[in-house]
Amino acid sequence: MTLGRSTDDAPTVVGLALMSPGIDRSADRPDFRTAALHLADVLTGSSLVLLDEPAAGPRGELGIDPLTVAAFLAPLLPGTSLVPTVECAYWEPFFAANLVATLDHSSSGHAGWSPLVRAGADAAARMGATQLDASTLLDFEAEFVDAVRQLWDSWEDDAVIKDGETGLFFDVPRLHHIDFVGTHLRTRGPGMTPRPPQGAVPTVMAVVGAGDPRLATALDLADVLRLPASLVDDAVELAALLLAVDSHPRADRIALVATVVADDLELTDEVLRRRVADASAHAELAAVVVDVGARAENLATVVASGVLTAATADAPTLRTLLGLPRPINRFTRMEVAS
Amino acid sequence: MTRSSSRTMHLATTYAGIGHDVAWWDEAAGSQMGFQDHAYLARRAEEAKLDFVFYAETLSLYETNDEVVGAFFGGRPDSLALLPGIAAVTEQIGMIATYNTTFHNPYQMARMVGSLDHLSDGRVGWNIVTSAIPSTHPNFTAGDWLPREHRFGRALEFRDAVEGLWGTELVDLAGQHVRLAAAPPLGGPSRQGLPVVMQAGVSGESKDFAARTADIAFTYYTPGSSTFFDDVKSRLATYGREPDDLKVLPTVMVLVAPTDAEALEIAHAYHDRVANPGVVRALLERVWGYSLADYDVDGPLPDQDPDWDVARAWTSQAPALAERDPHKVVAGWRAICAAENLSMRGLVRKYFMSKIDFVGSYESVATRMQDAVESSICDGFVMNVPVQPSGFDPIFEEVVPILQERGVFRSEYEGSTLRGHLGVA
Repeated sequence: MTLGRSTDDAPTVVGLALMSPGIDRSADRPDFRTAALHLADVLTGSSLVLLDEPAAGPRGELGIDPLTVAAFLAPLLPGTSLVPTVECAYWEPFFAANLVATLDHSSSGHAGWSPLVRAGADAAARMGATQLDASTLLDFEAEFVDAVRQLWDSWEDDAVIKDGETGLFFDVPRLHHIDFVGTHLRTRGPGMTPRPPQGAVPTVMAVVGAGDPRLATALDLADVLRLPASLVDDAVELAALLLAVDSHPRADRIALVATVVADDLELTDEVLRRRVADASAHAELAAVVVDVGARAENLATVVASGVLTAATADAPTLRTLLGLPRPINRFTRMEVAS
Repeated sequence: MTRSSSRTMHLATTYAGIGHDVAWWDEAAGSQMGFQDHAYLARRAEEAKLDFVFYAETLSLYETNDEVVGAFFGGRPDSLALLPGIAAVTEQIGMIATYNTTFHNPYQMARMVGSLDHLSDGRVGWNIVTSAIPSTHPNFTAGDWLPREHRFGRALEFRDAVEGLWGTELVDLAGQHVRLAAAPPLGGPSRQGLPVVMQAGVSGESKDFAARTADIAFTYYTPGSSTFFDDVKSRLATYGREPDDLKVLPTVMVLVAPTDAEALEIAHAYHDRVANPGVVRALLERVWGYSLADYDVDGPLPDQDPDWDVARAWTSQAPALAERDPHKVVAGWRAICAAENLSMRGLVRKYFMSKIDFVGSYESVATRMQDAVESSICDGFVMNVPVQPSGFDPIFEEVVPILQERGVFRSEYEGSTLRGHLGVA
């Protein structure tokens, strides 16, 4: 096994997942700002927080944007890695690449992102796009993530030279057109935002098992596979997935993170601890995330239980936390090869 | 010091992210990507009671001949991932950023800006821009999809779409340029209602767009001239609006020092430094369309004519340029160079550099700003400085207190929303 953090006795990281605030603004609910500031208080000291899409409202209101919430929380939670879900369907990778890279700069290398491509007529209608079928959307997503990652490499790490003598701000050969031309998406680059501190911001993709049609894309392009609790509880299914990962050339560049369900109506400390202990017993996992879903009131219980890994003073990047190497820029690599 | 006025002004900062006039070589210059420098500026601006911080948007680095211009400053954080952090560490100051309506998706933009407006509790505005530098469109799948003559039409439909999405009702639009059907992502408006609308441009179409739809007309500073102010304000009545419903805020470069002489000296050194050979060639290559590396920047303009297609593309979108015919523009430069015996560097130094609109002592700059507002040239300023962000410190510490003492700028915030600060409820 060469999976990220799989071999030694380093403790499994325990993080948190929650839905971003939804649109339920009934009288007894605080406004979004108050809710987000409260969230920052509760999450202080956590090492890893996944911000999922909110529960949609009755008319399909998507609620607050998770990346905006992550960018709001970042300065209030130094050292906490924040992984927002980013809805990508029918959107442009150029925007997503700059936004996620900015979050990584603002958080000093503590950003991740979890691309999401929603199927259905509503998703296309929102974006004013012609609807793609579910399988075509998977191709769209693969192109989107690929283009975003290439845009991050469009600036080499030392592209900015600030040479006062010549008046040159850039070393121009270290900026690159990526000339990405897919079936669905095109972008030339370079991006507007310099390469993120982590080189590539960890891409987190949820997969439900070895038969998931998204798995091929995730193995090719993701840094983190997020597994549902049901998969971790099913030895046969888990073994099939581990085999698929381990036989992929990128196996040593992929970390596995398992979900621990914690959105129970009455979550007890004892139940929570047992679930976290059971999941953490799987040595293949780099982290488990305790998922409270939309049940924000469970956050206090989870935090008080002490199961979460605390952010350390030296605050490693999200990559360091998950045992992932910093990727070499593909353009630098080409140079070395030639 | 006892001057007083019934006309109060609005003040904002801008933090440039691209171009040739940022003094990146200065030891005091902050980091473009470091969050702390942006947070520092916003906090200081809030202490000084400014209306808002402004961020422009560019969706490409500058290129000539398909290559990035190495002499230009470039690279920036994306406002939609920067400003939420600013919102978290401030309580009252507003924040406005540009969104290009030709390239953004209205739903995605409305959801993100709406989220920011809620998280800041009503302190957000958006600056509508419709055109972009030529190297922009290859960055997008849609490419160069919208002809120039349709960009304002798209912008109007875009505005209708996002304002609908910031409201409470389902949005179902089938326009010529925008079609979408969606529920309002945030379920309803923030405390200020709709985000403030800023609109940039000096064409008749731009002014009409501003009069019809904007809360702020963002423009260039024209010393001594109230033509733009009178024109755009006079158009408001057509749309049933009052003169105060639209604020005219020009962007100005400000450089202050204890005395006029010191400020001028700093300004002179700054311009000498900006007009380095790399920048001089890069600025002219954007017009000529081919490499000028073989020309001495201290010699005359190239005899050879520009590539007129490139020159036309440049003159058609260069800001604050009265003449759009590239042949006439270049002939005009040749005439100036001959008459004033100017080199390439001299021409650039004199006509291409962003001029410093207000340079002088704290007192004299405060007085000129006050005069401009009192004589109805504008309603205030979006201030830029050569050295970011520390160049704002003496403005906050010295100039703003003079304006406050004279009663022409607020000493305390009266409300906490951006609409409240601007008086455009």
